[in-house]
Amino acid sequence: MRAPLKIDLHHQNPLLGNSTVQLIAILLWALLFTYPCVRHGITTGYDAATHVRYQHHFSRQFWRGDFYPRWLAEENKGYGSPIFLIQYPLPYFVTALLRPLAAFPSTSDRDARELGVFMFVALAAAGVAARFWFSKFSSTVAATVAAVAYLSLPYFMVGIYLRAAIGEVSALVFMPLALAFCESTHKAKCSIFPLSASFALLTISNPIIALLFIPVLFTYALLSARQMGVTLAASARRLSLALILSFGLASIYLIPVLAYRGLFHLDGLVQSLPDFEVGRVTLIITFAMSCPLPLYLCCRFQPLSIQRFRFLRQSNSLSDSAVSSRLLPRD
Amino acid sequence: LTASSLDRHLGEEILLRRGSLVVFGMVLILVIGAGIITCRVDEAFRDPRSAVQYDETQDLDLMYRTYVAPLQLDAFAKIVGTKPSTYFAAPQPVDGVFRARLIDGAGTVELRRENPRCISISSDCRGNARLLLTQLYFPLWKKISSDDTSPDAGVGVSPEGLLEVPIASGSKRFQLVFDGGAPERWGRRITIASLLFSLIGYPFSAVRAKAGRHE
Repeated sequence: MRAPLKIDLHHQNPLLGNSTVQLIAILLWALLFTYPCVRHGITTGYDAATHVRYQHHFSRQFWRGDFYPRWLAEENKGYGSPIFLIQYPLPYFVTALLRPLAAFPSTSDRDARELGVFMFVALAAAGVAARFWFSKFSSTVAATVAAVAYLSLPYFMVGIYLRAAIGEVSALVFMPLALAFCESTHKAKCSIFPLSASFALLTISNPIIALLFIPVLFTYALLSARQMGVTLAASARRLSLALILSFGLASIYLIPVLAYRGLFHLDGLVQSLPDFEVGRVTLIITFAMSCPLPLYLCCRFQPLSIQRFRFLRQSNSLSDSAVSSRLLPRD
Repeated sequence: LTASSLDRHLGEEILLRRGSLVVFGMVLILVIGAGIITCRVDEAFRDPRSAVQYDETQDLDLMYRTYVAPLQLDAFAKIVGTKPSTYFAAPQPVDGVFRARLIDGAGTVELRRENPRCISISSDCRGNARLLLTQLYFPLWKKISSDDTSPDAGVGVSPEGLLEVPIASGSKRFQLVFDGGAPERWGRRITIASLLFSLIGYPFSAVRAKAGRHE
């Protein structure tokens, strides 16, 4: 048998424990994984051409004073398009705002290159958001390594390079952020505000993912509330308030979508193009999101939390006796 | 899950075997690597393709099938060089000039695009006429005229799915506006109100919570 290894990264190498170094590591990792996008622009994924066209008209109208372009006047070979009555706007706003910073020459690939930079910004932000959430229940080194693993997930890479799914990549920033603030609401009620902002941004990034994410958020809130000694009713009330406020924040997008959804005929798209599969994509996303959830929740709130408590009890580092009494196993 | 596991593996106090950390790292790398190679994401790194170019001659939204009325779908597809049943669109020269023409009646018409959502029209027609604009019809287009008692009347759809506006005889001035109506206005107002509430409420409640902790 080999001897056990005691690892103390903070004391062995203070550099690793430095938050700035950890954040730079996340940014560099995001840059590494999006290098082809940053260098050449968004690549020829499934929806890349569609996003480039939308972005071209969106940025053009935005910088000509149309703050929220709902009608793309020159789309469809100049005949116009009302697509931004229902299309999520956040990735396009962020990419439009990147234009003065990126300062790419005005060529036919400028929009694609700006979307490539957006992919880097989104991935880096997703890494920082994930680290923020993970650091709520783990050391900063573990949170950073896990955030890097989160960024490296094949789902991200497929979203960036194969599907060019800018809405989903944008949503991956706000899901860990919402979970982090969801946990914070148990300690401080004022965290309802950042939680609502995170969920509103998730909604205008990709409303389908936001809708699918609501049960995940409720489950997480209720389980983490139980662990932290907050009643289920209080936790549900805070989360409901945050969701109502997030609906208010996202109303500029959501209310027109709800009011005018009847003017768009998705069935017409499916009838014209039988190979266009709206339902299957939604099912795959639902399945992909829900599969790891039971495993995660079991590990996050049951065995690991008890283990962590034992570790904390041994090191006498748990100062809050009220919390400890709730975490203490009955034996 | 990864963070929780790593937290235990990298923790300062917990004694673990070196092997479990190595196995954990290998599983992580295997999952990520296998996923990336299976989906052929590695090709984007090994053989970076050039970025997607914006091409205005093929600037056609796949979703036009959802917002062009079903009766006009085939005719609209034809004028943009495609068919509803195909993804292919024939390249067509686009000069970016917004046009209109009288398809019925005679007279003169002047157009000015104020902004993407507003078109000003001055007309002087002999008898009733109909004006066809090179802009897609959508139910939110509205005719706003100071001398018209029913401002919404008259915005119609041509057989190709384009905007068609009847014009009465004589000198007329009116605007065509893409109007999001009450949902757009209320959406904007509610967002602004929620934003103000959040910007004021968050610091206020944070200060209150801090004061409560001190007490």
